[in-house]
Amino acid sequence: MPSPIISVDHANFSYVTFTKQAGFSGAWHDLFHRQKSTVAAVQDVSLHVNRGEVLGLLGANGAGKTTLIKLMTGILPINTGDVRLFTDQVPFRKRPAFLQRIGVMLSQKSQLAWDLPPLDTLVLLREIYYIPHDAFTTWLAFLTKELAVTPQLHVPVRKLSLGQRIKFELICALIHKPEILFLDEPTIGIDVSSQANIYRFLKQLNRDTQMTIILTSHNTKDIEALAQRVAVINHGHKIFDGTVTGLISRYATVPLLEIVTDTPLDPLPTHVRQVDATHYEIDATALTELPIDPRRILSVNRHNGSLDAILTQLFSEEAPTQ
Amino acid sequence: MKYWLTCQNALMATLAYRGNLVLNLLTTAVNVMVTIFMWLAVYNFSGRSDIAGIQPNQMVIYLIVVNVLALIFSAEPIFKFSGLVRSGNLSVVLMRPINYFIQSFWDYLGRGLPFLVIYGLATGFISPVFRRGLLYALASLLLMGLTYGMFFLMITAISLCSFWLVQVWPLRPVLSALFLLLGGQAFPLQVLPPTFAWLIYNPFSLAGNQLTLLLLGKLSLNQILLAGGWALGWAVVALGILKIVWPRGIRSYEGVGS
Amino acid sequence: MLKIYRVLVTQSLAETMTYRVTTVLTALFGVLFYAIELITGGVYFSFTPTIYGWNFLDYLNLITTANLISYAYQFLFVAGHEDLVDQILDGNLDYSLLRPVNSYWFHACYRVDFPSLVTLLLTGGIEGVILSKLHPTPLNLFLYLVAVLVGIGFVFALNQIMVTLAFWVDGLSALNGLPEDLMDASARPAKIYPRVIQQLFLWVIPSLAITNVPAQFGHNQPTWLLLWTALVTGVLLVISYIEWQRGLLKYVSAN
Repeated sequence: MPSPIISVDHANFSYVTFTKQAGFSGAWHDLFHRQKSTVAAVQDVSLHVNRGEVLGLLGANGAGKTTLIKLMTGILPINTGDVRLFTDQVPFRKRPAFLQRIGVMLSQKSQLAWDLPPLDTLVLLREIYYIPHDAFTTWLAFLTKELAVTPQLHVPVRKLSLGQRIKFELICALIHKPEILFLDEPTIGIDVSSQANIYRFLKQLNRDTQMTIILTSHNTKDIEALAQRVAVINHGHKIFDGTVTGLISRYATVPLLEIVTDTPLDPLPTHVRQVDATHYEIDATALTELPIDPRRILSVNRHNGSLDAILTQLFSEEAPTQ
Repeated sequence: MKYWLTCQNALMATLAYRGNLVLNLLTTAVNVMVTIFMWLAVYNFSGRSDIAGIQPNQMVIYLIVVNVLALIFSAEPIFKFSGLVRSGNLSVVLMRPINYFIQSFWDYLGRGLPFLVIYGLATGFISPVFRRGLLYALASLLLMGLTYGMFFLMITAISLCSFWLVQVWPLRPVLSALFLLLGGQAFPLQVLPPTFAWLIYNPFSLAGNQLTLLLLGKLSLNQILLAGGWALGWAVVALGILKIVWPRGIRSYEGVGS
Repeated sequence: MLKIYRVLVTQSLAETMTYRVTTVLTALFGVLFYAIELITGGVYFSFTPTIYGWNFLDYLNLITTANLISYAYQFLFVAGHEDLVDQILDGNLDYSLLRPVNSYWFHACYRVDFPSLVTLLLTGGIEGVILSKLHPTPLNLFLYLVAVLVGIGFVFALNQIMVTLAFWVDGLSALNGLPEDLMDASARPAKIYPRVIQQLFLWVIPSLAITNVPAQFGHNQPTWLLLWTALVTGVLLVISYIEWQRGLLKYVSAN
């Protein structure tokens, strides 16, 4: 079996924050006795990714998934443990040969020059990554065509829509054909059709070029659309690593069915609880078949069976004691 | 009372940004020092004890005072007004039951207060103005008041161009260059050849050069009255511009905005 | 590296073209303030032919050279420095950490400021005329150019050190004007200042030496001070580089 392209072993990362006290006397006090507190952002996380995999990192805001991305790309140094990419590269050393092989797109940060068309930023990246002119032109034409932004290549960035801008940020991350692509919240704040376009394109890219993709999101649609495997990060710990269906079957422990009917049921069958006029709940563990005439059912949903519901439940749980 | 509050707030704002105030003063102090040393060298090598009626020690005071005046006579109302026009907040301000210009004047006064106090103290302690009889003292005070009001009206009149200009920042360097050269901040205008004598009655010179000479006791009663007359004249011109331009500006503002 | 710089310069030009009016105005104001300095100098020398051995032409040479150094700094680096302050304060350096280029030079050279090129060329032309009247020997002319280059390096290093402080202290942006004030105040013959000030700014923070040394070479009064200014500039550049590395570590840990 080939060795994984990314190996994270027992990685830990914590940072120090200073708590500020209110008011003038507080500020005076802080000047001499600042209240230090250490926040453990990533704790004992191990993760192995094979070439060509698409891994989704799931977690609530502040769970540590962006930090994990920053550790893998070398923006941040790990405190203890080991992170290696391409079997022998330590990301934080930032060897040019290493940086040449990864592509990163961070949400909330932009590498596009605001007053210039995206093409100018891309030309700069061409020189930074030593991309031959011909290869650059062909690859760029392909990328802009697939993401439907060819006409916008010459429009100043400030005049682009958010969706178009994000697509160009993605192109910036892909322009040097990296082997591993890191995406931090790639679809935050953009419309559904742009999202679908990006998913389709990334899937195709992964299939055709065996590009490894690591993406973080708290949008479960991103993950369901793309990821073959998910790792759930909560309060700095990895609490799950497996497939999306595996995640659902593991946590969807109480099979509660939500049923909507065309007219109210009268009389109310046993084991059925009425929520409102045509809306019912059934505990499926107690039954082998539905006690409702199928012709009257408008919809059946398994409550606690969607990824969203599971994550809401997972993330609302208390932090493990440290 | 409500205008007095405006003045207080403006003073507080100046004091709140102490860091900026200190750096501003530091920059000014450095510039003044450079100019002072240069002039002292000029006195030294020219062998003269008097240039355009000003002795070396008076030149030192002149340069300090004229730079304080440059801080008092700021062009800030232009940028404040432009901000209101650009953001569309002018409509809100105009709906309040106060006169914007009067409020702006008190704001101007509040912002300049620390420097006005310095000028006032210098006049009280160094200057011979109040030791030359009641008439002279009154005339001097009148000139100060007139010039201050005139300059504010001038700046306010200039600020009206915000109705038509998208960017007014270029006015900042232009006005500071004018104050340097025409206001007598770089050198007293009196050192220029007599053909330039008419320059001393321009608004910038009245604010910088003339008020400094007044403090040094270099102006005769006649000269004070003449300068006062010019200040009044310029004030009338500024007021005229305001009366004519304001309604047109408002019309163009309401046409474009909202 | 040179190719990247060419792209950056092209981009700066494209941005300049977006703000044409601003460009023209900025260039005009540069000329305006230079003209005021000329007039003020004319006023000084209308009362005396020489000041501490400097005649009007020597004086013009001095202020023009000082302007030349400051406009060259502005043309080459000021836009990059302004951008860098924003990037540091907005926490937007992550991509810089991820690119296979030297981030110190990348940010320092990120933009050139074309409006300053107009004033730079103009002062350069005037300085050419002044030098042609002062007749420096070929060696002195060469050392004049070296001294100007050292001057640009000195102003760059001072500003770089100031700008990089933003990693540790925010709200310090007002301080970024200090190097400019210092250089403005140094655009005068060193001898007009009291001895203490002279010693301080010739030897400790040699800003007076930076402007006076090339001017002296210009009118054939060579000075060994050039070696000292070159040495100090080198040290300041090294300090700014170390400060940058430390700043990045600090940036990373505050992420």
